Amino acid sequence: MRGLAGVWLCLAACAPASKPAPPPYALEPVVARELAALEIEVAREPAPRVQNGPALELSEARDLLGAVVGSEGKLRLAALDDLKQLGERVVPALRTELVANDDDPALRAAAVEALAEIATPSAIDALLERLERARREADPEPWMRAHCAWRLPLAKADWSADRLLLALKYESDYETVIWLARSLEANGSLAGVVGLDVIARGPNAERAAEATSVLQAWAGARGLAGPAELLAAYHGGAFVDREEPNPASVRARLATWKRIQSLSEWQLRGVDDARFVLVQSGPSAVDALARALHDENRYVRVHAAQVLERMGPRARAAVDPLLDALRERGLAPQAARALGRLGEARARPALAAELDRSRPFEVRVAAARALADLGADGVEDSLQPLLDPATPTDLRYASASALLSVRGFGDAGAELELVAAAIAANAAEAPPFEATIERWLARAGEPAAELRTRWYELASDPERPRKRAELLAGLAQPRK
Amino acid sequence: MSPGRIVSALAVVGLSAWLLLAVFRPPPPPAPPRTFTSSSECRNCHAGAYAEWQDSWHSRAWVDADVRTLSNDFANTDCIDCHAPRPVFETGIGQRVLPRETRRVEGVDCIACHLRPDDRIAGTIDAPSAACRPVATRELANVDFCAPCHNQHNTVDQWRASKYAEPGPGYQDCLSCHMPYRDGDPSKGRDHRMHGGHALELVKRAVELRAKRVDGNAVVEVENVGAGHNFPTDERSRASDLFWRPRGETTWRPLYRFRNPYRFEVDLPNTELAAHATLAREIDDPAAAGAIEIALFYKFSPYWTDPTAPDPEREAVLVHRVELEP
Ligand code: HEC
Ligand code: HEC
Ligand code: HEC
Ligand code: HEC
Ligand code: HEC
Repeated sequence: MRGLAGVWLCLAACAPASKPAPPPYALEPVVARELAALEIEVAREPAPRVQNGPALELSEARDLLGAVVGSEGKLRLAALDDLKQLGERVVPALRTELVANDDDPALRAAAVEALAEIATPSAIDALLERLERARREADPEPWMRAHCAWRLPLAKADWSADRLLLALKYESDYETVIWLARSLEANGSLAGVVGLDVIARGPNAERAAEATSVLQAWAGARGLAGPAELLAAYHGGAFVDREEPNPASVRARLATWKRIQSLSEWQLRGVDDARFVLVQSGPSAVDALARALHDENRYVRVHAAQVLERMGPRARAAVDPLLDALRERGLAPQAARALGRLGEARARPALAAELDRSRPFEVRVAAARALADLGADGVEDSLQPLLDPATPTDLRYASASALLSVRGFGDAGAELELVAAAIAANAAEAPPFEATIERWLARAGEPAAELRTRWYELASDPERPRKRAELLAGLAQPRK
Repeated sequence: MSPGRIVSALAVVGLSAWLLLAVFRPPPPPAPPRTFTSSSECRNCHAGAYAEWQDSWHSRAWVDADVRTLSNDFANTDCIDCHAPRPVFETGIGQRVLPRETRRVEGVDCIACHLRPDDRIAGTIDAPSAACRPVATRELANVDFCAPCHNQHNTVDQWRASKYAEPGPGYQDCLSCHMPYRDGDPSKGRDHRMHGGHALELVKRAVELRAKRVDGNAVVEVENVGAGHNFPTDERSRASDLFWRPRGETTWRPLYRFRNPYRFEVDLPNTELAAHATLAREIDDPAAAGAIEIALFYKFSPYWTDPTAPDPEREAVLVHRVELEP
């Protein structure tokens, strides 16, 4: 017996070291645990100092606001300080004043200033609520939203960035958008660049000029030539290391995890809002989203991967968790697409492995599309066989698109024909394949100049897909 | 043993052998598992259902021009979830659907509605030997089967609150009205065209338009008599408008609009007409004292080219029209 055991031991020990099977993909109540822990931390925070005494009536608060409005210099500061000292006692009255349209606008402006000075969570909440008013009812005073966005002391309340980001989604008043963007930037977030860019190109000349000058200033401060370079750098993830210079506060992290929790809601309104806010958020959200890929709720997992995909290179830190997520069947397609957008070359071999016949069809197609986004350098051999006519159409076209990402202008063969066929096959599926061609044309440089011109001339042609496919006919080179 | 008995004993044996044979006749071998990658693969064997589905708006969910414009060619990826969904049975009956990666042009297709997580097909019968291996799946006929996509704006909840949902002879569910039996014959299966707002004859059945004089004043009534939910339901793009005009005039004058506004239209109320409900409106205008025409129009997208002078005859479909004498 002992001898046998020895042989067995030796066999086990001397067997070629095979990699141990990884433990099954863990699914856990990640969000619930995070929220519980953060709620406890928030509860432990020292309460804001409360001055003893009853809450002020609106009329009393107005008298104090009148003192602010009616004085200047040191007297004005003293009057403001009176309000600040009252703190929580005056917040309810000021909150009412923000929507009282019966009265002097200057008083309302002073109320905003006072709340920003008080800066307790409930004071900040009052400002945010005013900022969000147009989402609940018609707002007769849009300027008040701009004013709140301008005054909001984000540095004292980083958790309110979450609601400012959502305000960006719904805000239609250009002045308010500009102030929202500036407040966010002052606190390390460049999320407002997208909105500013829209305004800069918009029909309102005055606001367009204002937005352009803000973008120009931000570009200059970062050593960039102008707005276009700033946008490219932002989307390319150039600033991730510099975003959110201070560690996020407990309340800010709580806000992020609450958004992540919203991803599991039934009503899509909350889900869409959460997807928007999280995409605009910074590095701390990337970390949280990467952990949420292990949540037990499938909607949290899948939407978290989608958010990382939309963040693109800004979410580069999530590459490893996403590679691991390829092991979860329902999550794998979104994880693959996200890996395609993050722009990390080391994801290529793992994506190529997902092309294997043994993998679910959805995942194979997603992996091929991801390789088209990422560039298929070094994994051509996994893609080439999939050009075979026996391959189901979706996979065949996606694989062709991926292969074209590594071909030069005079060097594209069957894959070019197939991408052209994909463009012609269905106008509704053409845009991603057209994007592949556009990247290919851009790489081709001078030899493709004439073709490029003709290609873009067709941009708004009603028969664009068919004509563009025709343009590509005859360009494919026979391959040995 | 008498010969008679032997005969009957033999007969019994013979009969039971026959019975045995009948019961234990080896069933046709089960079909091998098969992965479907496109709904066009169902076409050869289910040509009828396929043709009906192609004619339905489910098959256009991805290619529909209005959807493409509003979603910016699906650059707004939030819109993919229901317009190119993963199978309902993968995410679960009554649960939200998730977006899929493949065959998106097929929109809401056979696979999205019929494929089960065990790679078999949900149907009304078990037929393991058929190529698609159908399994009788009762949930397919449940109203909650439509809910993942049609209850975001509460169509299923509206139906639950209606008399149609009460058990009894008046019971009618989504399938009764939207997927009736072909030729009314249950053995022929259900019509996959799934008529809705685009089918004028269905919209006509949804509401009744009446007009009468009360103390000489013109009073118009619209009653939801045939929709199992609000009218018009579900899609915020839809609107239904009441207009009137003195007989002989060409310009229609707006009277009322039934519509559930978009999220951002915060100052507009939801004015849909609930199942069985009636709206009554008096025309407060001296010109209505004479002979007038009243018409109800249905619109696929809510906005008028010129909101100050809407032209329903060009931009909407006429549902009902009545006349009222002085
Ligand atoms: C919850 C699932 C769901 C999501 C998400 C969704 N839709 Fe729809 N959509 C539907 C359903 C169901 C209908 C059909 C209802 C109807 O026509 O009354 C529909 C119909 C439409 C129509 C009308 C089409 C026609 O037949 O005229 C348009 C336009 C549309 N959707 C656009 C969008 C856009 C744009 C988005 C993204 C912002 C979107 N949808 C997201 C479920 C969804
Ligand atoms: C090779 C032929 C074939 C293909 C392909 C096929 N089916 Fe079938 N299907 C059948 C046969 C045969 C039956 C059994 C019909 C019967 O016994 O009434 C059946 C039954 C069904 C049923 C159950 C019918 C009932 O009365 O409840 C459904 C649902 C169904 N198929 C859907 C599909 C869908 C969806 C696809 C494509 C994804 C598909 N089938 C592909 C041959 C096929
Ligand atoms: C929007 C969901 C939906 C889509 C899309 C859909 N079906 Fe169905 N199908 C159903 C429902 C619901 C039933 C009825 C189940 C019942 O009566 O219990 C059904 C029934 C069937 C049946 C059983 C017999 C019959 O005709 O009623 C077949 C076969 C079938 N479908 C095939 C298909 C095929 C093939 C396609 C694609 C061309 C398709 N279905 C698309 C929902 C759908
Ligand atoms: C997986 C999502 C999904 C499911 C499940 C689903 N639908 Fe739909 N349905 C849609 C979408 C999306 C549209 C809009 C397509 C378009 O016009 O772009 C639609 C459109 C419709 C329409 C409107 C047709 C028209 O004229 O515009 C009707 C009616 C309808 N569905 C009925 C049903 C019924 C009944 C069920 C349940 C048996 C059902 N649907 C299940 C997604 C779904
Ligand atoms: C008593 C018959 C009846 C029942 C039951 C019924 N509907 Fe309808 N449905 C109609 C009629 C009539 C219309 C057309 C008028 C309208 O748009 O409201 C319609 C329209 C629709 C539309 C199309 C709206 C559009 O914009 O094109 C959808 C989607 C729909 N119904 C879904 C459902 C669902 C889901 C159920 C089950 C919960 C259901 N219906 C139950 C009669 C019914």
